[in-house]
Amino acid sequence: MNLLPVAHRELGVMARRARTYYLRNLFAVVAIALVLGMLFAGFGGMLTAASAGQNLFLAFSALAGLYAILNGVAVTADCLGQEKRDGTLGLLFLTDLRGFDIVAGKLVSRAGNAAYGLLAAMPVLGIAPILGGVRGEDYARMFLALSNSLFYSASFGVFVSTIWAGERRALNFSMLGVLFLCIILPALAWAFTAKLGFAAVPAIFLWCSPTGAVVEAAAAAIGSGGPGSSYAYLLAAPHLLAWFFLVAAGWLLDRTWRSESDAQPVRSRFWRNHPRPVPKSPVAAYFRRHRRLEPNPLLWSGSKQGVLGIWLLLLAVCVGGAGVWLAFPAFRSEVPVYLAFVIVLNVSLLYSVILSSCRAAREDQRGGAMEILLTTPLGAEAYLRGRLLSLKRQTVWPFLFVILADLVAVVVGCSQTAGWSWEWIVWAVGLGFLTAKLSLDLYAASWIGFWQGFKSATTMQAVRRTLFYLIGFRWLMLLCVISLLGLVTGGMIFRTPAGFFLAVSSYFILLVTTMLHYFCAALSELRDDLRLLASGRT
Amino acid sequence: MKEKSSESLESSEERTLSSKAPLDVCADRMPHSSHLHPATTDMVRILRRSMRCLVFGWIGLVPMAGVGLAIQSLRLCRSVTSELGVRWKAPPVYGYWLAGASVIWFCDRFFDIGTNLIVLVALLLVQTLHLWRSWNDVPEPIWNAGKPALVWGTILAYAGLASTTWSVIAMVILAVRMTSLP
Repeated sequence: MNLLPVAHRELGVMARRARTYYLRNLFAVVAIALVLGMLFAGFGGMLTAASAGQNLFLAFSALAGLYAILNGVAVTADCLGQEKRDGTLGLLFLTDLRGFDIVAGKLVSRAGNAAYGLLAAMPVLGIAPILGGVRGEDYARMFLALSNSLFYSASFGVFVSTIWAGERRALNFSMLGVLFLCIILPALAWAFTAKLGFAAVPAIFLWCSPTGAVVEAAAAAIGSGGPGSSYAYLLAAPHLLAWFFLVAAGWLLDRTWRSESDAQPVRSRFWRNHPRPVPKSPVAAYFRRHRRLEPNPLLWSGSKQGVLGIWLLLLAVCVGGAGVWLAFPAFRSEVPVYLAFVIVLNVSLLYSVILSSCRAAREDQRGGAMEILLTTPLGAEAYLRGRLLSLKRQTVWPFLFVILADLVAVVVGCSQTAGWSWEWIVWAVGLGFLTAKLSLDLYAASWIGFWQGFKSATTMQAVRRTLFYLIGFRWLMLLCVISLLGLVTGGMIFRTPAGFFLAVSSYFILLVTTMLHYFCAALSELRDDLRLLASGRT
Repeated sequence: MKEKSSESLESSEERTLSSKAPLDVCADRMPHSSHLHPATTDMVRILRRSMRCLVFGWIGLVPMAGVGLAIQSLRLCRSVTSELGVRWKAPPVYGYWLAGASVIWFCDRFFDIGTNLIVLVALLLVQTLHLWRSWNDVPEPIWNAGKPALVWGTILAYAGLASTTWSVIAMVILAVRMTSLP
């Protein structure tokens, strides 16, 4: 028998798939556009070649680190849970495969494309040592640290997937877990070390996270003090932890694959064991139910899905922002801090809406609800209308909360930085633009999310695609435009006001173009081919 | 004898045809028998898509901002033609785009902006005529009431793509000229 036969097979399948090569090329193109865009528009003309090299190295490493951490866990979060729900995991155990073989196979098949993407993008970072200010040794360190981050987050996703078979819980726990371990915990450790005046961050906080090695490599590149622990330890400790996650996942899988699936929500299991009490006023209950059921049955069905997740995410962002504001008075006069808070809050709401719409479509398709609904006189139009209306009702209060929080941030930011002056007008215009953009983004996201929910194999794939169509593609095209303009003018255009004007106008044109394109594609296909989409034959 | 046999053949053919449903007869007499039986083609959807193709084509006419809808319009056109079995292939309109690009490139050498615009509009009109004539030669296996909308949607989408291409080239040339000024 071969060593890790499933992994061997999956690698063979991946090598024969055209998508692998397209994705690799796409990653290389993204990296080239990113680097050229940063060089021409970001750092060109303002800095020396050496400092441009250093800034490029830092910015690219930060983005690659975020990609490695978030994409690694997103692709593996539901890999074994899906097999459990489909009942195909038992078939694998009928052969002489062990749990570890399956875990390794899943890791390779799911995280393979992400690893290839990182590998394809890394040569572009090699421009930084050529520009100067960064050594080849720093480049090698960063490469190892980023690869380690991807391995760590993918292993964590597989581990979570072994424990929870339910898609929703596996996704939530893995994303929250990796965000806490890789971003929140090190950030809190650094913040409180600085606040309390300690010499170095306690090692235990950094050893359980791959971020420490990335920061150490970046700090070594710019010649500043790192997190205070050796790079070798910062690399080795999370690597060993990732192997521990994998071995634990294999061990758990051997023992838990026969256990009852927990795909059913906790609330449903609770009500199965504890029947609902009869309401005291049946007439009131009837009218309450009737009010939702009468306009559209999907509205009633959608109202049963909770919005707790959206509220928790928004509250976490707000508490985090308020914590930073209270703990660090030095940040209070910085405009980027307020801008970052508003953008993070808006993106969090957008992500929640995308997740809800993708999940609703996937669950209707998987659970067979679509087949039943479309055989009734309800029809496709009523289904779409009901689902969108239910999503709108779920989102309206969080949307108003986000607008209120944005307004508070703008008022506080303005009073702390600008005082009572004409700059208020700029802040107000900015807030108006962000609100309008958020409304349009949310409306487009609900349609595109539904569309991709039906077209994709998993919820996370649908979410990733929707995010790319709605945000990623627009920025990629903008970077391509900036790179093109920079190349044909030798970077001279960005030393004039015309360069800034061209970049901003390109952004607005791309905003309209991409949103219209994908929104109309979603609308057209959902209205015409909902039955085909529901049957999964497109 | 021959006349009698031919008459009997005709009458037998008529009997066979009359025994079939009208839609089956249409399907048998089609020059390019479609892969789909006409009865199974959802004509309401075809009509709706044709109309949508026209609407997207109109919006796609806006340079740069409408390029996404122009692409959507062409996608709809392709899906409708493949569903109806229409064998339409877009003529090579890239020649017009290239000609327009070279006109923009040589704008300040040979023409002024007004002449330039007139030449570009003329190129768009020739492209429109070319596309419109390409639709005339295509046999139609199943009658589509939304064909005019489909044709004009395609024509407008191609015009939108041409204007977008020219706008991007003009923007790049403008950037180059601005930076090369003393």
